[in-house]
Amino acid sequence: MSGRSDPGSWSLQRLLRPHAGRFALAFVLGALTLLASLGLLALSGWFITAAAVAGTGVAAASFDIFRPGALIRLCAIVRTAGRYGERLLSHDVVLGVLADLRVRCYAVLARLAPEPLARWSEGELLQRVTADVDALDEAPLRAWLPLGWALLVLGVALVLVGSVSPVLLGAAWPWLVAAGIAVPLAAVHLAQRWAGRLAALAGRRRDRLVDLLRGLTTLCLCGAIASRREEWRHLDQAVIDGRFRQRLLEAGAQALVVLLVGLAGWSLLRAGDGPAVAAAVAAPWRVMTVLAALATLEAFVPAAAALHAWMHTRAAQERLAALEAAEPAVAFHGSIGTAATGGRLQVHGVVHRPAGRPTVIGPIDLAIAAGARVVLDGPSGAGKSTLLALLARTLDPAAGRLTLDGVPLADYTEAALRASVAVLPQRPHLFAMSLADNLRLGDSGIDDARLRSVLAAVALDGFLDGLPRGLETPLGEYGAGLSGGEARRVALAGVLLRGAPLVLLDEPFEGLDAATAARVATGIDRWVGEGTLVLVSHRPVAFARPAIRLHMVAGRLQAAGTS
Amino acid sequence: MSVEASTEASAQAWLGAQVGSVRRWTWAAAAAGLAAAAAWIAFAASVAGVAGRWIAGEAAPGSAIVLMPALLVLRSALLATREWAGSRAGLRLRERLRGRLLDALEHLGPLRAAAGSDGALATVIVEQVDALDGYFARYRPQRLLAAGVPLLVVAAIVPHSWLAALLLAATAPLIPAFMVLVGHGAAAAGRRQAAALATLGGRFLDLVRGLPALRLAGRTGWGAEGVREGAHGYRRRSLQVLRIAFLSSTVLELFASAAIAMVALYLGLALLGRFPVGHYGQPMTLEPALFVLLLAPEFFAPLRQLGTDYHLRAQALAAAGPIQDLLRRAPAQALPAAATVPARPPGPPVIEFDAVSLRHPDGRLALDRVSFRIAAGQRVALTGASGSGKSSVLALLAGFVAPTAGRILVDGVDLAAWPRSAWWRRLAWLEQRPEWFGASLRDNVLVGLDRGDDARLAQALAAAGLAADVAALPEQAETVIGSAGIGLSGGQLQRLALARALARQADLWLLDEPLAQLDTQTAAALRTSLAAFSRGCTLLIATHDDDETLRAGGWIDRRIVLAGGAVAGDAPLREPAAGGTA
Repeated sequence: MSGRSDPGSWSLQRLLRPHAGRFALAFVLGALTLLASLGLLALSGWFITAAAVAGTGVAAASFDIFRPGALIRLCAIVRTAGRYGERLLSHDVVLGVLADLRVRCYAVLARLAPEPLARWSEGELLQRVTADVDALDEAPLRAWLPLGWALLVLGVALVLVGSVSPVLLGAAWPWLVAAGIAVPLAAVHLAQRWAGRLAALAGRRRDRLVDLLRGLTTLCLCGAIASRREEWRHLDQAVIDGRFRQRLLEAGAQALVVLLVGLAGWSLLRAGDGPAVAAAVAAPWRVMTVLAALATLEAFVPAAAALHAWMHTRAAQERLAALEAAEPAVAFHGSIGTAATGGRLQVHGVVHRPAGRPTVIGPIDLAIAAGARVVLDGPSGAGKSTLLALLARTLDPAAGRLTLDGVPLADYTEAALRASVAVLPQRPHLFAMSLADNLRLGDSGIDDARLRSVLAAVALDGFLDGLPRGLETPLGEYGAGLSGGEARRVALAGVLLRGAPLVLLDEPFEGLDAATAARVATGIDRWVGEGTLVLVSHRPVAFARPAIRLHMVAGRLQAAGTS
Repeated sequence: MSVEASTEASAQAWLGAQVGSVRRWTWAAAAAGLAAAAAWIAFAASVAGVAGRWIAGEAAPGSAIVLMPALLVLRSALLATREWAGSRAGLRLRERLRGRLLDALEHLGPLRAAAGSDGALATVIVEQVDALDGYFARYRPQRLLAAGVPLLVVAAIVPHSWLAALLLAATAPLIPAFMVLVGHGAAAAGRRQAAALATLGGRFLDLVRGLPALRLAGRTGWGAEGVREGAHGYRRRSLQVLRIAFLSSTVLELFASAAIAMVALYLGLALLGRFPVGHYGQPMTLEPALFVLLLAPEFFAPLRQLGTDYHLRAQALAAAGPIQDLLRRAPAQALPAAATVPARPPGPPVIEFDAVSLRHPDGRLALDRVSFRIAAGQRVALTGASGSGKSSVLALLAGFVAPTAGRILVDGVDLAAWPRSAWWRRLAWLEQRPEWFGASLRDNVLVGLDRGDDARLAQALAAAGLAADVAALPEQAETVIGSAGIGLSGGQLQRLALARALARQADLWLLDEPLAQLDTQTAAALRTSLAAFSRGCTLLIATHDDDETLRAGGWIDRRIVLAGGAVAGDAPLREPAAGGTA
């Protein structure tokens, strides 16, 4: 766990490695762009000063304008083409990194499914995860590249000035180094100190707002809305103030860079005005150094703005690392790799204590023969869904033993257990894919006839006939376009298709009228066949074979006879 | 495509309308930016002045060199001021908008569910409003600067060389023209790809939401494959859009580079005396030449910045849609915040609907000339299919919305004359899923009341039949119940809602299907409690219960059936109770 909570495991260096070549090329193109910009101004300054010098003398006629002119035009072309190439390439790399990140993030989340992930899905957490993954691109694009370019441009500018005159270098370097490195780094450092606190505050602001909205009607009617809104406004104000300070820091850093670069130019001008330098260095070269110094601004200003991106990415990295450190509810260490075939279920003294709830489930003792039909009912909150979760091993009991075909559930490998048990959860999910894809879930071995047959079993044959594109009809984002009852039955059909020897269904008849429910019950009965069926339902249901009715109250089972 | 274009136009118009409230800050930011440009022009003149003397072999006067740092400091201070003023604009605007959005939600009350889940609404108020910041803080001032600074630069150049000014000025109108051209191409490409990009972007979230199901089906590998394909498809398509989008900034770059190169070459030739046109027939000297050269990049700088900030506009346009939508949903406020309280006769109120109609802001008619009269202390069931108008009747009566026609009379006085807080004090409200706060049980029951009133709390909990359950909790009444009511069963939570209603000693009860989520036994037990405690109060319950269940409860006096927003049936369910005359 300690190893996992390290934000370094989401380190961008590692993620960038596969794209290193193209990232380096993007850096080179960007550097060429900025150097061409600098060259354009420095060269132009040299050129017109030299032309002015020549223009006052006899050399005017023989002055070579061809070579400087060509160089100036070259700089203009490199600057334009370089910019386009750099932007395209760097975005390509970053989008590639993002794609890899999503795959990786998916693997992390898959480890946490179904619990605790199922609980989070309802909240905004996943929305935030997606946003966090997207935020990771900011550091390479808006922090690393600009900081790298600033460093390179600084080096080139210093070499250029130094090669003209060491005295001029002495005048310029403190200002340029401060503007190109010291200020951006100091700003990043300051920003990092604030980033964590501000992110936590922003998270609290959001949670409090959701809390306020959830209770809006009550707060209005109880006359408490004004004070709650005022409370939230203060929190909002704190976040806004924090961000405002950050913005001012960034603006201050940029203004400082502008000032320092200007002072570098001024300092060169003053040094160049001295008699010693004036005697040693020709005017065109002195003008060139001044303009080169002033032109570094284009590279330095984005570097000073790097702090925001850096901070944003850092906070996202930390949240992703925290996610990776979360523990799944169930870990698989079993070695039995063959799936159960019978469906005989035994429960001995199973106890479960849900976190933060006063009710304790169990102790539960239960023996279900292969091929049995079990109907579980009881008041809400009695623990029916929790019992199903224990049977499906999406939760582990605090004490007791569960066996399937005589083998403890914990001894199965994950693949074997999932092939043995099929589960319809309380809130099934439909994917934004075709009806057929939702049923197959990637299992290409299931033909269309079988899909039609299972849809008929859950009384969706009429629904299927009404679909414009039949099985290939897309179910829309999040399965929209279906009624709640239809969506449940599509998920139910998918569960039945799996042909597992143990089938667990949580409220399969919810939202159905009595006639449809009876039809669906018959279909379920036929598809489960010789397998074992345990379902939660408040309705009286009839199967071909006698069903065992179990009544659950406050975490305990009471046999309610057969029907 | 035209639909998207028109929503964009409406979002653009809305954003424009918002500027009014922060116009002063926007202008202040632009003025500071313009002043900073002027300081730079003065600095450039000093640089040119000093260097101009070098070729004459003279040293510069000391005063010019001393003045330059002052100009630089002034410029930096002005740049920081520009950012500060821009940020103030964004800040003020967001503050105001958040207030308006919360007002809108407050007016919608229980009807807000139609606008989205509470999480989605929070996203509109927090993230979407924040997304407007860049547009107002940076883009709007920058737009003014992109017009002002080039003019200032050209004005500074013209006295020295009309040709150099012309070279720059001639490119200026070309730039927006080309950018619009390329921008249209990018927008069209963006629209063509938008649907595909949205699907691919949503796929990750979809597959993550479905992860529990996939893991249970042993199909996580298939999901991972879907994520991989989706992510790389997203990358390919995004690049296709970006390729065109980046062209616009490249066009700018091209013009800027070419113009600077051309100005430099012209100046060189003029200094060599080989190009006599363009500087009023005077011989060109280094000082004006260097001055013009230093200003050439400054001419393009604000336009380039505008190009960089262009994404802020797109961001704001995207965020404007949901914000507009939510604001549009808000009905006219039903009850005034303050007014004189009508004299309140003792006892439960008589309620009268007099040809009440309610039309949603989107034009749908929710209620169509509904009239009925409920006697003091009468308990009435409102039935009808979902969407028949039951919730609208309750929301009207609670004063969250105002009738679009007709009147609601309480004890013969128009409800519109009641101030909100005074009216709300008389109401008890129970719904299908009661609202909970992430706070202690005590705070959840005594919302808006004195939280230290132990007697009232104990009495309400005991009356709701929760005394034993609460005593069994780890920290009794101080136990924090999660916002989802974690830790208590559905039946216990409804009893807690009942305790909340009892603690308020209301005389008008409005119940919106409070039993729908409960199993039969729990519902039956709670129904008995409701029957006992609402005695003597006027009560309206929206329910799906059939006549038989209603009669068996023995507490409902009358049933009003709604269908399509109109009264379709109204009949007593039992002999009028004492004091209740229909």
